[in-house]
Amino acid sequence: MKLTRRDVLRFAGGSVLGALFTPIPWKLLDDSSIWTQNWSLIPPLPRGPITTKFTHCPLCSAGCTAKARCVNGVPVGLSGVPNLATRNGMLCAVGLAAHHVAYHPLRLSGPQAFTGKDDGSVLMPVTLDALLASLGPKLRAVMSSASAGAVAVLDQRPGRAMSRRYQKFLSGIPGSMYVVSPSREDGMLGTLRALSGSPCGPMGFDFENTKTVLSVGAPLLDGWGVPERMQVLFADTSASGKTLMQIESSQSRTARGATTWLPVVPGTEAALALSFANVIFREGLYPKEIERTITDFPRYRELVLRYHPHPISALTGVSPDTIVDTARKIAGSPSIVIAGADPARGPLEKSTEILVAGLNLLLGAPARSGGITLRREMPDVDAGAMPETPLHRVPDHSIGLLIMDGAEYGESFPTSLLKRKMVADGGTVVLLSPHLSARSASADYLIPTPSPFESWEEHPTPPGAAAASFSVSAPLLAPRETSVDAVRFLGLLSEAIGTGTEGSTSPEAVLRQRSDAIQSAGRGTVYAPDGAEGKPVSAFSNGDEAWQAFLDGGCWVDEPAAPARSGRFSILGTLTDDELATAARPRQREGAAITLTPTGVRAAMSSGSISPILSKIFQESDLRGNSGTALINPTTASQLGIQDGSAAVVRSRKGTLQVRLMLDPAVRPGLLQAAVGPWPNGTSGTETMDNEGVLAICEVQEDGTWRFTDVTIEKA
Amino acid sequence: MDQGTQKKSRYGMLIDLDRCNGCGACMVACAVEHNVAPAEHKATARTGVTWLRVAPMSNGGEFPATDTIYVPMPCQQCEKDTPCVAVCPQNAVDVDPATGIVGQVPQRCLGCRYCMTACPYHARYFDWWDPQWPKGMEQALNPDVAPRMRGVVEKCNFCHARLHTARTKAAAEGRESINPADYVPACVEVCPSKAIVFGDLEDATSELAQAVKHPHVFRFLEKLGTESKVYYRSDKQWVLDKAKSLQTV
Amino acid sequence: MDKQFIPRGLRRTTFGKFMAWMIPWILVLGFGLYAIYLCLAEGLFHTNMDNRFAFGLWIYLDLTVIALGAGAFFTGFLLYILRREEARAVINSAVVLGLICYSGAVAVLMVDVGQPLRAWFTFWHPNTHSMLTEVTFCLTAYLTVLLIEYVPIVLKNRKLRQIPRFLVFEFQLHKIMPVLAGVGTFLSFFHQGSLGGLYGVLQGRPFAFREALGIWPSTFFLFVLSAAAAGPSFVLVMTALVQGISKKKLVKPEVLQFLGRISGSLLLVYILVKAIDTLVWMNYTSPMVGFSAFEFYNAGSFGTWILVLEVVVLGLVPALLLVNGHMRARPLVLLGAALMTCCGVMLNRFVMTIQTLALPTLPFDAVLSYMPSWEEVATFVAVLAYGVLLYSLSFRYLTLFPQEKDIRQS
Repeated sequence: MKLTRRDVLRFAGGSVLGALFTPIPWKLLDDSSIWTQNWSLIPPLPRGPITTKFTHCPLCSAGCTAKARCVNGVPVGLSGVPNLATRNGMLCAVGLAAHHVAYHPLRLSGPQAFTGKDDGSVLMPVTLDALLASLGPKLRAVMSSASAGAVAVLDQRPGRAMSRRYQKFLSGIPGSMYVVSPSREDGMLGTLRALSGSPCGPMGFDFENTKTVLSVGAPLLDGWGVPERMQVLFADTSASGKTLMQIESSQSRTARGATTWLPVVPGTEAALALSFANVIFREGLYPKEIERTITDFPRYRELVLRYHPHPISALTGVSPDTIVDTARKIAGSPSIVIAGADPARGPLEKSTEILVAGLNLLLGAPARSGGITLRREMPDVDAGAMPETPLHRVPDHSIGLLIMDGAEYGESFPTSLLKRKMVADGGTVVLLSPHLSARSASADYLIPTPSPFESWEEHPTPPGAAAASFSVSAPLLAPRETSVDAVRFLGLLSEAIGTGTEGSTSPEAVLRQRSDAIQSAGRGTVYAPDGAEGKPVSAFSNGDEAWQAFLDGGCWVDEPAAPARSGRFSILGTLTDDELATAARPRQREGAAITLTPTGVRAAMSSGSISPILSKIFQESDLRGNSGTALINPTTASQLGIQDGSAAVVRSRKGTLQVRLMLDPAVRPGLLQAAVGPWPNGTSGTETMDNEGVLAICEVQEDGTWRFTDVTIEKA
Repeated sequence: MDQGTQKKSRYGMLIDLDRCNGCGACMVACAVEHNVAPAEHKATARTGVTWLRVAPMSNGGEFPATDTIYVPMPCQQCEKDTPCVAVCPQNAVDVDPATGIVGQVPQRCLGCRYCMTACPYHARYFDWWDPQWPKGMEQALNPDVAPRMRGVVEKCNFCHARLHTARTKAAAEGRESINPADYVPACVEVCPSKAIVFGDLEDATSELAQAVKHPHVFRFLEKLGTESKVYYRSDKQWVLDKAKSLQTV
Repeated sequence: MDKQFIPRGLRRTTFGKFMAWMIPWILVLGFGLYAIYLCLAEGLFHTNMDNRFAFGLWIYLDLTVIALGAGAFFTGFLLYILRREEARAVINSAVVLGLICYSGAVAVLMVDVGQPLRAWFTFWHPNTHSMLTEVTFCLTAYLTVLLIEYVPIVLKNRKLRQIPRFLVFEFQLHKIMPVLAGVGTFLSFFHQGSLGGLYGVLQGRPFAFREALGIWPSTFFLFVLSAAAAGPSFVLVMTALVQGISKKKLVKPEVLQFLGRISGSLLLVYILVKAIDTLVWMNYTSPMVGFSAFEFYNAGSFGTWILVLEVVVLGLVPALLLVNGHMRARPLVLLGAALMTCCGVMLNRFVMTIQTLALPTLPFDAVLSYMPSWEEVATFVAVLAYGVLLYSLSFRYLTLFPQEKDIRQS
């Protein structure tokens, strides 16, 4: 048979036609569409038994109770536990995704060391032994030489059992310092304690029983303290019957949610506080006994009488009537006056803090219910705690070797502040953190600690709480093999310098000690996370029972302190006449350029410490600024010829920063609010590590504050 | 699978704008619930995927007479002439008559984005990138919601997986209808200021059906006639004026 | 070297010169194909479209080239249905232009969608209420028609005519040409309209939404009319362009004037209807949903000037020029007016696609801006290059202008 071209064509045509009647083309079509639906880049979902565990959010000092939904024991979702007697457990945006932090691309894979301190230095992976072999001699050298500076620990979460560990470690080293974060939410309470004539226990804010809160810049409705507690008490003030008055330069979220907002000229808060005092004095609104208990009453009175509302109104931008009304309000009902700032903005100037804190003393604190109260000390393992020194109050160039616990925790501070506290040659910085951060760039050694939910965490009393509390989070995830927890690291370091180790050697054992201490003190109540009735500590027959209650997610709350007679206080503390004279000077100089002030979200200022999913609010929407965005008033922007969303270069004496400017009428004209925001899914390590954003160009003042920096803005 | 739950419902929401302080918890909870991938490095507010977006709305006043509220904007679950449903060329969008929920079938979606241009609420999002999770994080995904592939449109479906779970539970317990307490969308559950009321508008006794009768309750773009089922409330006059006047520019 | 392929009686430039013309376009096409590869393989993040500007340059391009490509169906309609023999002089060229426009548009659409492998879902799970379904069906069908119409032009090539079977096939095809033209007209009519309906049905976009006449919004009919008006003008402009580039006379001047006259009359009708439509929209449709129509023209840089430019300068003016016999007789005026007509339709499509999406709907929306990425532009340019290449090949080897030979011989 002869095969012609025509036969071939016929065969081909017939085959095509015939194939249509077979499943082949249809199956291919179907498979291709199924493939587009499940292509390999889509991860398979976890399968396995679904369980629920109670824990606490380890991302900030609030330690909110959380319910973890787990598949195969791995948490896949967190939710708050509402109506809890202890911590009004609703999680914030950051806490809701806390279970992702362990997977963050910026996590450290092992110990690292910088090869040198010059600009060309690089971070190199090292073994833990090699790291200790290099660090040990440095530590010994600093310990043995007076000129090499002091050994210090910067503990960003003081009050933990682990904090006591650090203090114990330091107590063996003469001249050492125990340093805490410069901008703590309860910083003002520390100031108040310092004003006390006699040693005075911890203090708290009695928000539950107060009527009026006057907040000088504290972001009470934006993540402050235990966020949900503040929300319940002050967001819907018509329901709670409370009044929140916010004094702030720009209209922050707290100012928006407050009953009233007093837009104040930046830097004149102290003058305003004195003017409130002026009204209280002139109208005799203060309790008479303070004339006895305040040791420098005449000096204060003389000072205050100079701050009549009328001249102060011109200075602060707050009308005289508002000043008088506000003063009457805080004097007329149980009230709290609180000083604070945005978590990126750092501490207030010492004089401002003292003068605002003083208003509480003027109103009769700390003996007044609904005001500032004394709380009991937490039952403790070791006595002899070291004094806490906030970083900005540490003498310049005094630290030779610094161990930093945690990269960032809640608040942030400029690296330049840290550098200023180190000895002239930079000294040695050891950073214990699970991930890379802007802080890593200033460290010589990086110790990869376990990530939240891999580690044993404890949640001591949140800042400002009226009663002490304590809870524990047991690990939900297995730690990485390369992780080194702080307890083990301190032990190894002690060995390296030959002081030997003492006591328990695991983080769990450290927490167990605290649990035992609480149990043997026999005070307070442990509340189960499911909202059941609390169980008095005295009802636990032994330490194991108490420990089990904590492992089950229980939270211990102390009994309220017995009402103390108000001790004697100095209301002006160590403030000199010169300091008082300059305290009330406005920050914005006439005709000055733009004033830069940083802004951030608590516990979310470092990319690596939050879930990558936080990109939804920091990057994929206009809800919160990320690193590189800055808010400016439209009027100021138009004067500068700048449009919404345009790029600009911000120049200060410390350097320049490229930002994207967003117009916001809520920002005071002349201010530039630049975000110390994270880049939550930052996949490029070095980029995030070297870039501390706006804090890099903030000027740290003599007193260690960095609230305001003069800058110029140019179009990019 | 739907047997026993045939009672017609019209699920809706009321969001109290005066309570919302723009914390973003709802956005995060939503992304966790629905396995939305974290942003690609270059993603912006205009290319990101947020089923629920909280948008600031300013009164336009000059400092200090300024005021801003935050408007959480999920899919508005339009009921009448649902703009996105009619335009989809391949029936990837539908309105479930039993629940009133506008559903999106990503497996059917061609990615033409016609529905996105049709939606006046900008509540639809396109996957411009392949969804990618950091290494290891896939084990922390919600087992109940399938991740979507690149090149399709996705949007809020009132946490349909939770409705499904509630129905399964009802069926297991031999109940005809779900227990309302079992079906609470993620954003409603986590809102720290309790700004969102969720429920069945068809059930006249529900808290939602009662609450939407308040004179300060409104819907955005009401005049477009889409009969959306997400209501808003504010006692601030400027918010009511702005929402009703539709003055855009 | 390729003389044997060049139609008898026509003069074409040397192969070398031809290649010198083609190679740059091939490079441009290659560059565009690279951009297309990036979009298909890596994702549409390569474009500057976003969730708010979900349609961009490509959809604008699709709407525009399809409007201009209407020249193919309308010339066929004139020739085969209305029996206007003047149209025969440009019918082949118009078919090639139509084919280029339509195939280019479909190719770009395939890049534009996120899941091109699911394109067939529209046929498998069609939503008959969607304008896009109508567009997809008609576009596919009409592209097939155009391909069939193109086949006899190709088969007339003198080398291919040597194969007897092809000759028979070509003859058979010619017999069904009027049927194809009729089908093509019907399909074209529908998808031009559906493309208009695409935006006219968007009740969520009050700037684009229009009252319905029957089941279609008014933009359905406006698009049909404007495409019919612009089609002949585009054929006219392209013929003039090819004459200019090839430095040859290809058609008799009456043909161009004929196209101009048709275009002008249709444009006049279109402008009239458009004016009525705009007035109804301004005074009724838009205020009904709470938007004052002029609000849209206060937004961003879109002032009322854009409306005046579209309707008067690029609408009424060329229409009057084209319907006037004296003016039409001047080649430059004729060409200019035809060009203006094309620009007017292009502006209309810009307003419908880009301005609609730029304008806010919610009270807290801002006016958006959009600038295509290089990948989008490269894809756009690739379609242009593809068109130039296909047209150049067709012009060199096929008989696009039957009058060319006569003109040359006379």
